[in-house]
Amino acid sequence: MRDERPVCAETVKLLQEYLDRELTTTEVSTVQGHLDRCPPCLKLFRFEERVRRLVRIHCASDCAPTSLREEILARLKAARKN
Amino acid sequence: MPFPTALLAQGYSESVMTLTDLPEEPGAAQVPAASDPPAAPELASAPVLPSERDDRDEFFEHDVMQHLDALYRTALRMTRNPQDAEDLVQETMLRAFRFLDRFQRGTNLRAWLFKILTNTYINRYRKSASEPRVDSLDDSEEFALYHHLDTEAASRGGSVEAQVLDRFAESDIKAAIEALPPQYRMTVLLADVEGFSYNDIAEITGVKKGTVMSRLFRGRRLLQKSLIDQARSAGFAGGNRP
Repeated sequence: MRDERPVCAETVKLLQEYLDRELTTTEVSTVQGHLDRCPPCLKLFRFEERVRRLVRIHCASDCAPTSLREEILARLKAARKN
Repeated sequence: MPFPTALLAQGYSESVMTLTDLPEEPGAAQVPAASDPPAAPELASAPVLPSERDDRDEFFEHDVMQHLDALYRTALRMTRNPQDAEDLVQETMLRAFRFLDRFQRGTNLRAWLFKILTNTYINRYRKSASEPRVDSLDDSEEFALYHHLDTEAASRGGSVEAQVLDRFAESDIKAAIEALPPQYRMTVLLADVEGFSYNDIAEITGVKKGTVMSRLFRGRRLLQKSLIDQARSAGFAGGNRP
């Protein structure tokens, strides 16, 4: 069986760009090819993706107060008159 | 003039954009008021006609304002305080309105607005905004949270790292984000919450793409360290406690 360890190191180097969708199509298939063969790397990638998702879900939930929206529009209306 | 809303709807997937440089200080450059006569009528700078003004108002109220929630939640994480966040967003929106003529329609409006937000934030919080103190970061801890939780899960004879992650409350995550130094925090928020590309973030924050990548890398590691600390003190990740 092929030694995947050097490939693991190369793949992990690409983790951030892979999860940020910054790799080329060719690079993506190289990473995915390795992840298909390597459960430990896959586990790490999945974990890191989960952390990102947690950040996204929890930090995207706040909405601007209605009063802020109204105040901005009111101030613009006033600014236009001047 | 037809307006390509489809382009804007794509949001962050659109990487090509033309951001007009904004002045550092608000008011340093003034867009002529709608009632001002054109400086040189023979040049292309035509007076703003009522229909154009209506068009601009409508563009602001419909297209710009739909990004209010995104600007607000980012401002809230950056200022860590609802009142300061509202002030920051108000100033951002007023500047966006004032400089709206400089926005090239069809380019990335979201990125343009976030650039104004970032500049406004830096102007307001100049001292803390540039604070780079993360020298204490241990570079060896690349995937600290993963390795910590994975080792722990293995010692318990199971694979519970996912369950442990799910036990973080919304307030834990927000606290960990807000503990990041501002430059790292802004970069992580732009990438992980707002989904901007590296190129967009580079444009928004005024640094090179390589700097964006290293800020993301270090910012995410700091975030994980802070989550480990919280997990330990909450007791759902024992680890190296005395």
